Amino acid sequence: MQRATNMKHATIVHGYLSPLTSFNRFVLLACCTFLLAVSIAFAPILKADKPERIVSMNVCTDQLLMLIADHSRISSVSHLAHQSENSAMWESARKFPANHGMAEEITSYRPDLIITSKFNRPQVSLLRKIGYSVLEIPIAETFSEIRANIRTVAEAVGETERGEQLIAEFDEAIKTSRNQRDRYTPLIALYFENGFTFGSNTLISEIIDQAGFRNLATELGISGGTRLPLEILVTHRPEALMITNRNYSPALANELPNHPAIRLYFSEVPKIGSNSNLWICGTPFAAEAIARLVKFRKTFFATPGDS
Amino acid sequence: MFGSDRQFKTLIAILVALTALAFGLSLYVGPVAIDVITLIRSLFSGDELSSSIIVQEIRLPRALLGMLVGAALGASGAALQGYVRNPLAEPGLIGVSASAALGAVLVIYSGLSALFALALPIGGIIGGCIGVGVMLLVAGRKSSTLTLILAGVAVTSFAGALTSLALNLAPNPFAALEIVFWLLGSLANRSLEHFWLAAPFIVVGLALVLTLGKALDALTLGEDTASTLGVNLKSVRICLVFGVTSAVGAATAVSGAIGFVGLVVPHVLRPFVGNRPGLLLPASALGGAVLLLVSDVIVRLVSFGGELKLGVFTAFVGAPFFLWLVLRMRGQYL
Repeated sequence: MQRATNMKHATIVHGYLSPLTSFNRFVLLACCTFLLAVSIAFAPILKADKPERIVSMNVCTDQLLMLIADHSRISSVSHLAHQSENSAMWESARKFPANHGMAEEITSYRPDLIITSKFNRPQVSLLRKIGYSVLEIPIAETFSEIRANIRTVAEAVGETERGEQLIAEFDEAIKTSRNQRDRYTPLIALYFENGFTFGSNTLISEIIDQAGFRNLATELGISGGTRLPLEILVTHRPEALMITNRNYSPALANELPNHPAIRLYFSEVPKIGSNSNLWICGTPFAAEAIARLVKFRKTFFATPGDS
Repeated sequence: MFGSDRQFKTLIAILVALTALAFGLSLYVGPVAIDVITLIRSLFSGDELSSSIIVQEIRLPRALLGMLVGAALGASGAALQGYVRNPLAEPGLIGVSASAALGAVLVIYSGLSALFALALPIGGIIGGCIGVGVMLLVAGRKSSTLTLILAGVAVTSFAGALTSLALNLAPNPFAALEIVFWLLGSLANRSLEHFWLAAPFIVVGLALVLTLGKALDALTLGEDTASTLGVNLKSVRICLVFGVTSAVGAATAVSGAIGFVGLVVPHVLRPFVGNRPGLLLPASALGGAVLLLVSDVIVRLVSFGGELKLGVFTAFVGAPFFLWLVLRMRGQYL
């Protein structure tokens, strides 16, 4: 709309000034063309009301967006959101066309708001340069960061109330799980593809803590994600194992969690699937991950006399 | 004075002792410290202690595979160099390793090896056979150094590119990261299952290659003379191709393409056997085992996360050696 008005304006100015010298005419024409170009470029930013064609480029912001914004306002989500291995909302996500985060592809949706994760990608600066409004959401590694991200997205899409409601539900779910804590905290080891594990300063570590487990990687002083040598895993005798249950096609990465040493030594150890689509991103689904771990703990590590 | 029977026996004895030492070292070094007495007890006890699991299930397969893969690469290098009478022939350089890796990659990532475990070594062997076939076809048997190396480089880079392509196209998101494993090789986290899959083929391949000693000695006098001495050139060629591809193909299928072992080892040992290719075969098998076991220990000492690949270290030793070889040849042949 703004674009159309500007165009009309430019034509009128041009017509009125026609008796001027050809040089001046040229300068003015150049100025008008420049103004027109600028207004076209900034049109999406200048818009004051709620964004109506929102595109998300990242699997984490995809899910926050689908939870907060009305689905009729979402134009596209990332292709990863369609995969059950990575996205807790893959079923809802399939309603929307998938993008692969390419700048050209994103512009084809003519979005008035682009939401993505902070990954310092060249696409973001390119899209901003062309004049699109891009909202970058930091990666949430704690529950308070999840709340902050919900608020940021809710505000950007003009759904503050919905955001607060989501946060309240999230807090309530965490509280329910916390109330079921036990004095005994079993030692759990995370052992994923390629022998990867996660220690302190990660979302999964906080989830494990909230669910009433001790994380082996955190106790070993590991911060962030790293490979855990199989020998170290065997030596520290965790009481429970969290292993990957992503259903991928074959690769060497999946061989390690199936190593005979694990099959032999941990045959009696209770195992829980990673369900990583619940916590690979910082979303309210983290509460569900806690609830599943609490249920797992109560099944295998119930203390006598404890309700 | 070199190459006498006694001298050869001494050399073999020294190499056997070094192999045993390197094997022990491979069992001893790891992220968890285990003292020698516990180590020996853990090796033979059937209990469920964590040290027994570590030694028997994690370190033993690695040491056994290191020994066999090293022997396969060393002996194959010596046999290829003897047969084509060219000091640059080596499984890694002439394309056997790269094409065996391609065969293994196709079998693993298509899911075939999950259905039928033996498909893995067989895939590696078939890949290696195709690679060596193409190389021999292109370079011809009486190849010059140049054509042999050029054909080898072509086969190696083509197979390497196809391996990368196959892994990039694999639907598993981890597959693309595994290109490094297949191009550089590693023994990290291999299990006894891998050992039992590869061992029979490597042993058969080694046995075939080791029978070639007399023929290779005769071949130093030229093919015509060797024929008059009763060497059946056709059966020698078949034996060599099947021996090398069986040993290297099965080895590569479980450990990736490890370069330079087959190049360096025969060159280092050649002066000690009086330049007799027949005697060089068993010596190179043992020497290859020592080099690979020691390399694998060093890789573990440098980084315990399994990040540094074995091929990185063998190339670190092998590439400067290769350059030195080229420099020396420049004086000799040009």
